[in-house]
Amino acid sequence: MNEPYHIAIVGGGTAGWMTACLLKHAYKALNVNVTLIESKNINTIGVGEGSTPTLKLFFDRLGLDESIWMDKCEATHKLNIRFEDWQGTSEYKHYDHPFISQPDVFHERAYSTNCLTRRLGLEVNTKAEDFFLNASLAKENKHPTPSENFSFKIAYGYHFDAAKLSALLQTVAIDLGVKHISNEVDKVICDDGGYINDLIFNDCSTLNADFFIDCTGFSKKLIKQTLNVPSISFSDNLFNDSAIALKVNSALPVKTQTISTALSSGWQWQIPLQNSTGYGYVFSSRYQSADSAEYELRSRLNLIDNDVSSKLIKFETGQLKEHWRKNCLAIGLSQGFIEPLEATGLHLTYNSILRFIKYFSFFETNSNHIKKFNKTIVNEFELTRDYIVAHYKLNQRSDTDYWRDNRKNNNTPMHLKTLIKAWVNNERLEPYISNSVIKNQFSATSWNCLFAGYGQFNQLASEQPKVGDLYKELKIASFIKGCNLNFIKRE
Amino acid sequence: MNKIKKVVIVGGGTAGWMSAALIKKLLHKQVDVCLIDSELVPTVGVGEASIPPIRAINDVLGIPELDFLNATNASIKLAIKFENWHNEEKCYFHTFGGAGYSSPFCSFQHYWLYAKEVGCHDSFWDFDLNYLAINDDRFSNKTQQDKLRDLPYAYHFDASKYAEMLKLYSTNIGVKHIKSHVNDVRLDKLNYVNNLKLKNGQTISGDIFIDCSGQKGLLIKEALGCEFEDWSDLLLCDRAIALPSKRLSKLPLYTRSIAHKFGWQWQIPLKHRTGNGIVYSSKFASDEDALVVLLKNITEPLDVEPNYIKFKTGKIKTPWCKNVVAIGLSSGFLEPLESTSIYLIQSSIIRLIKLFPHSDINQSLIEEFNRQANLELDAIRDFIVLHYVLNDRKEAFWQTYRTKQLPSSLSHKISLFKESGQVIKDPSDIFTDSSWVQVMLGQGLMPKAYHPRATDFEKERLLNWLNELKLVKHSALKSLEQYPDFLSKCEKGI
Ligand SMILES: Cc1cc2nc3c(=O)[nH]c(=O)nc-3n(C[C@H](O)[C@H](O)[C@H](O)COP(=O)(O)OP(=O)(O)OC[C@H]3O[C@@H](n4cnc5c(N)ncnc54)[C@H](O)[C@@H]3O)c2cc1C
Ligand SMILES: Cc1cc2nc3c(=O)[nH]c(=O)nc-3n(C[C@H](O)[C@H](O)[C@H](O)COP(=O)(O)OP(=O)(O)OC[C@H]3O[C@@H](n4cnc5c(N)ncnc54)[C@H](O)[C@@H]3O)c2cc1C
Repeated sequence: MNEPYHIAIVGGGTAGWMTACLLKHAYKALNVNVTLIESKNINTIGVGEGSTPTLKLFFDRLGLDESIWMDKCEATHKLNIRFEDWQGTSEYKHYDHPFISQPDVFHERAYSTNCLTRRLGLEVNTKAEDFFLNASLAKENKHPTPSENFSFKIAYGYHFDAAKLSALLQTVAIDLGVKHISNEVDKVICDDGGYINDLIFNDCSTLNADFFIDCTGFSKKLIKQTLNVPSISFSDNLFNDSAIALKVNSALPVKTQTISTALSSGWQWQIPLQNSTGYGYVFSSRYQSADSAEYELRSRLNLIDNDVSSKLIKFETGQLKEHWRKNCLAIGLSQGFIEPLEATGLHLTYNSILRFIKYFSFFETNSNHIKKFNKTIVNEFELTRDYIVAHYKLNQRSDTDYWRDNRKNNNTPMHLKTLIKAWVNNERLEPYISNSVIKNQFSATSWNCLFAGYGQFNQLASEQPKVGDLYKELKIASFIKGCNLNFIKRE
Repeated sequence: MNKIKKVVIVGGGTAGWMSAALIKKLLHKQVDVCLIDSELVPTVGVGEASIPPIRAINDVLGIPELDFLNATNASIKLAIKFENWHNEEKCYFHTFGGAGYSSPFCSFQHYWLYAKEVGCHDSFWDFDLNYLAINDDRFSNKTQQDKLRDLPYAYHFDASKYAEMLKLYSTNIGVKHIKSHVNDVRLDKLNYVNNLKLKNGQTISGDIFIDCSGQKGLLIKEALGCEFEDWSDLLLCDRAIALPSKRLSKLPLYTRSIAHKFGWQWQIPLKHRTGNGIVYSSKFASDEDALVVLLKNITEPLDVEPNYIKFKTGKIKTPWCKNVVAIGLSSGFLEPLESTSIYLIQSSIIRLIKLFPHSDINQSLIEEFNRQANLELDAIRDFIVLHYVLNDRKEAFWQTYRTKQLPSSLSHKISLFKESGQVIKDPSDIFTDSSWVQVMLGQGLMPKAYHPRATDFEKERLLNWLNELKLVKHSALKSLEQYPDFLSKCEKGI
């Protein structure tokens, strides 16, 4: 390459800056220019957000230590998600979905077995919070970095202020040599073959590049408005289309887990940051007005008369039919959106970028690679959707039409149907999951936690043999306790 | 000798009330002013964008800017943005500012043209404070002595509210207002207007009659039969649809003018609503076609029903005839592409006041008035036609323009610029050199040559000088305030 290859990223939300960092980092030895364009007039979506362990992979990849970025983003460690009031019965008031750490690998099989045994009617422990280290650490507000003599890896993600994270990633990207332009793209000019050539800005200036990345969020300026790539909606399965988000300036005592609480027409997140807390109510406007949703959220938080401001975010769930077309790739919210119940936004973003780097060539547009990429990413979005949809299928709340209609809804995706059937037929889930095209965030253990958490079990048998509870037989309680002692409580 | 004592104005639109206010204010010792408007004929009710001289009117009348801004829901205009005019991939700004710095013998574009050749990547507009302020969303209404820091501006405003404001102002300083339809215009034997017969039975006589009755020209055309010079072969548009929508959440500092396949669309950001409309040629599009295009390009929710307007482009050759002076739409019409109509009203009134007869109307005053009026209008016509002819679009409407026989005044200007980068300012032309340069460059006309003085600079020195110019402009930019702050301060009255 004589002329530098030019990649233009449009959009400066977390997706845009994350893409800029990863591309510039990956191509640092090559003659590649990366320019990021963002508009001061169009706000980013970012709220107080949570991540999966992929965010750690991202920072590790760039070689950025937690000490450099966490405080700047008000970040805390996230070990677990706790689901409250989803099930709707007193027996299952809450359940946990922990990230699975290295020591837990010993007992995933035991947990799976117990889930099966319990389905057969035997009284055995199926609580994820008892089985897995992360849940026990989260409960006690323990830091995920153990003492030196404990040499197992702990899986964790973060909670962070998304706007601050974008700002931080911006400084990282600029240090790496990304060029930053503040301007609004007004028009996108394509050649006769449908490849993007130029961006025309609001101020009538133009920019030419070889490859374009659409990180414009919900507006999908390039991939949809210009290239007309259609979207596939998930709304037949996911009723929620709005969120009310707010942030209060007081910190919670426990900062190591996200709490997701089911409400009348949706669910509420609680995300603990260092000195503040993010709250939000994700709901369906078909079942509840924004005003009433805001009232419900504020009354729960005792903020009715408080003037802390909230923002209403409208969204459509779904994904693009093609995430990459010709010389344009969509990353972030422009790719699609699934409600943040499992905090998968950045996770999908990161995975998409890495996979793109794997398939991308500077010298040719390889339509086979593009096809493979799209197939993989579309599938990953679907698998994520399935796990989210499962929450609405397996819970037993019946206090409102919202929950009843959700359960009655017959549009359940194929893969989820298969899993439910397997569960009901007292089969193990592992074979169904490892068969998927790619290794997904949601392992068999995640699915077991979910089914068990919602109490999807048969009646207990009248005769109990009082044996076969691997939790007791393998002395998992003391194992977890032993591990737990290697961790210190945060201040 | 008959002293001119009584001025009668027919029409209570923007033209009528501006005339009443200014004439009464400036000639109050000499004349009585009476304004008649009809309860039956509405005003056109459009016209929202202006050019900088509008500010002079308020100064003359002593209306504080803040009062004006609040009473007319006005916002600030620093430029017009022309989108898709050259072709569908291009846009440019016509700002009220001047780019860079022009030395006495050599205008800025020459330096810039030379600099481009030797490696400067900045656009012509990168040296224009108005353009920089638009992109940084900044503004200040404080006057600057230093030309380099000057930020010429005009307003977007609600002209009906402005007329109301001027009505109140005029009646307060003694203008007599009669609300009644003029049924009959009576001429004397020399064909001077003698008096007007009103629907309410009154007969109104006067010494000078100002025809502000809108397009139909009740006195100038219908009564006196003055000749109308038709320009519709030069400017093809003859229809407009106006359709306001809700306010934009963020107000841009400019009017948008968007070319479409058979005309163009305006978008004017006011504080309480957005003015939208489409101007088109009935030969190339039906009203339905035009409405569809307009609706597709309006982003905010609508406020009211569409207002369909027919117009005829051209001028009355003798806007002052006998004892009738036509001001406003009655004197002619040019499409609102450069927001010149209200300015033309203003300039006609000023001209009339400057040439106002002491007693008896004499022919040399009339001739001078008409001479100036014609020059001024022709210059604006040329400027508007310029936007159309230099296009690179594919549709029939636009193709037609490319093959037009142009007025020699215009084809001269175009070839002058093309061959030499020169723009010669016509004294009667309201538009500055910089306006002509911006539109010609914006429409894709790049000069083949530049003035030799531009190369007096060594290449390095020139580039340094341009960088310094940019620094000056940027420091001026940073001293401006954030535009939203300016707007909210206005609303609070500070
Ligand atoms: C309610 C809610 C909660 C969420 N919670 C989580 C969570 O807990 N965890 C998680 O991982 N994810 C979460 N997400 C998703 C997460 O917010 C997004 O994945 C992330 O913010 C990335 O957004 P983005 O950068 O794609 O888009 P945005 O943040 O919308 O940024 C878009 C950017 O594009 C720019 N832009 C747009 N149009 C133009 C234009 N024409 N010209 C120039 N620039 C333009 C804008 O200026 C902006 O910089 C949540 C999302 C929502 C809606
Ligand atoms: C589509 C369009 C867009 C425009 N946009 C702009 C713009 O952005 N900027 C700009 O500067 N200008 C613009 N203009 C021009 C601007 O609208 C006019 O110059 C301005 O409104 C002046 O109109 P007027 O007062 O001459 O006529 P009108 O507003 O038509 O007023 C005519 C008056 O005469 C009275 N009248 C009529 N007949 C009689 C009678 N028999 N007896 C008594 N009274 C009578 C009526 O009652 C009315 O009061 C635009 C015009 C059009 C058509």
